[in-house]
Amino acid sequence: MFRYILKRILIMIPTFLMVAIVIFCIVNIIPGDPAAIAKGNDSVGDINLIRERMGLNRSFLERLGDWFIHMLQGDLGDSYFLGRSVLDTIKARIPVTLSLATSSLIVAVIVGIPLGILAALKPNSILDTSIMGISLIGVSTPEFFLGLILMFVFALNFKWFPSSGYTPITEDFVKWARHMVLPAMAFGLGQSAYIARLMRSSMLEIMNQDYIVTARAKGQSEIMIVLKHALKNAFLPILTAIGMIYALLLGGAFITESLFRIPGAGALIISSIRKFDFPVVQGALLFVAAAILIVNLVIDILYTFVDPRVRFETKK
Amino acid sequence: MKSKKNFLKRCSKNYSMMIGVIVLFIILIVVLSVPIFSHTDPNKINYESMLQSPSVTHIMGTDSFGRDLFTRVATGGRISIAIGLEVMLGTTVLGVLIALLAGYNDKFDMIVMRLMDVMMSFPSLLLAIALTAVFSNSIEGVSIALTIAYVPRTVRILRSSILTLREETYVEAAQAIGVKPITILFKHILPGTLPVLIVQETFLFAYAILAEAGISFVGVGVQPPDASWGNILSDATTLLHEAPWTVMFPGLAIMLTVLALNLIGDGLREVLDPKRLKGNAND
Repeated sequence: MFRYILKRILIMIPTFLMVAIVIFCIVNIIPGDPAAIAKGNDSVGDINLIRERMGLNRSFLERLGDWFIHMLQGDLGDSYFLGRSVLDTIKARIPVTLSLATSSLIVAVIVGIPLGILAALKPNSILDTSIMGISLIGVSTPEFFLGLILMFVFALNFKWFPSSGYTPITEDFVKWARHMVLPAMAFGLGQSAYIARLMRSSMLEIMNQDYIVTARAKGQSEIMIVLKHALKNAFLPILTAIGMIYALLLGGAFITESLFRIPGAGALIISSIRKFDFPVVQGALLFVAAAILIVNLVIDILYTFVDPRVRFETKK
Repeated sequence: MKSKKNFLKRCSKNYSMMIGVIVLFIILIVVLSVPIFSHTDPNKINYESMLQSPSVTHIMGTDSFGRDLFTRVATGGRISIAIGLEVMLGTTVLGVLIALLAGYNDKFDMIVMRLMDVMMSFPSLLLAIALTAVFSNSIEGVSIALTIAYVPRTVRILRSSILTLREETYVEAAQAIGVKPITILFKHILPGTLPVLIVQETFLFAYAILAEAGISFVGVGVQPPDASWGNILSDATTLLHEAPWTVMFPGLAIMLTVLALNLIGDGLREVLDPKRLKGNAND
């Protein structure tokens, strides 16, 4: 077990380093001159001097090497325009994106799993067909459209929740929750539809297994069969899906952030791309990618706890 | 011939898939015909008819510049659907080539799959945004960016299908009688991957439409004056309170198109299920 986890962490390191290089390469071939933008604010400045100050006059490989070495030391450089280090800029934004993605995941799980189970209990019944129909609509609805509908109904008409903005959870929990309800629903409900579809098919597969038939033959009630025998095994594929969805939520948060004006890492990436603030784009992308790699790692490790087969396979 | 007939017969019996086909067909007709037959210019500003609610003259109402929303949604749909199609075709061609080469050469396979792993460990939407900045946020730029962001999915699925097919007896038989590896790949293995490929690409068409709408919605995708469903919706966000129809119609257009494609994808998966096809794999 320990060896498996160690191996898994060791595999992650080269992947992370390659991701870092790919990020640097993509960001640095974006056509656009940050120095020209900086010069716009500085009418007497010489563009070559600005370029030199930004380190843009060096070759691509030199810059890559320099950035890479500094990154390994935990230094992501300074923002071109914000007058702060990239790390400080991102530090303020990451918890915001994490709290949005996590709340959305909670919505997705607590809505999706029960719906999937309900649908699977009576396959092809009216209940099943309607749950699956609704979840297909859910999968097909873009989160920003759902967000706009929720905003229209619950913020503008009923005025139950604020339509935009963000309060840190550490500052005021109630305010944070009120700000988070609509974005988390907009972002999470679509994913809950996906979880429901997956949960249903996983449950259906389990419910036809021999041991379930045996439990039925022994006269155990349907609820007990689901709770005691089916759920645990049906949950396995869902665990992987939850990991994937969390990664998707972290990487796709920028759309919801932009709609609800939440100052997260995704919104930072968008505004920095527009300004050609490359160090910030690189840093923020790196953080999101690292968060996703860690999520995948945690899911893989969790899997060894729930599914002993994985442990045995690695021993072979 | 027989299998083609069987396939169409099975498709026509799959009602939800047929609903998807009909909805998509209607959307395509509207999107293709309105910009040709309509006399209204989708970009014509008319301050006298600003923010009119849906009526007989403007069936979807007008926006804050008095532009007819119906013509704009139809014109925008052309761009959104065209991007979806381009991404679908791009990922198919690139995906097939990469996956076949990977199936042909083990060294190439190792290098390419590592690269695909790296790309997959990166959120595809963020990758697409960064790439859109690289290739310019024109329609072609967005298509190329999304193609690159989504191609690893096609490669992965195709590759695993190719690896399974490589072990089949008919492939071994072809190898034994000395058929060239490249011929085996194209003539014997590629046709076997078609069911998987068709289903995957139908869903990818839907993803691409959603992704384009998403990145245009945040303002880094297709730029005005080109209208796409994403940027029409983005323009409308500030009008949510006073003119909710400006949000509803483009939003519904995206939703219905993606829903139709998902219905078709689900249906195709059922119809093309290899377990069901096994019986007549050779006809």
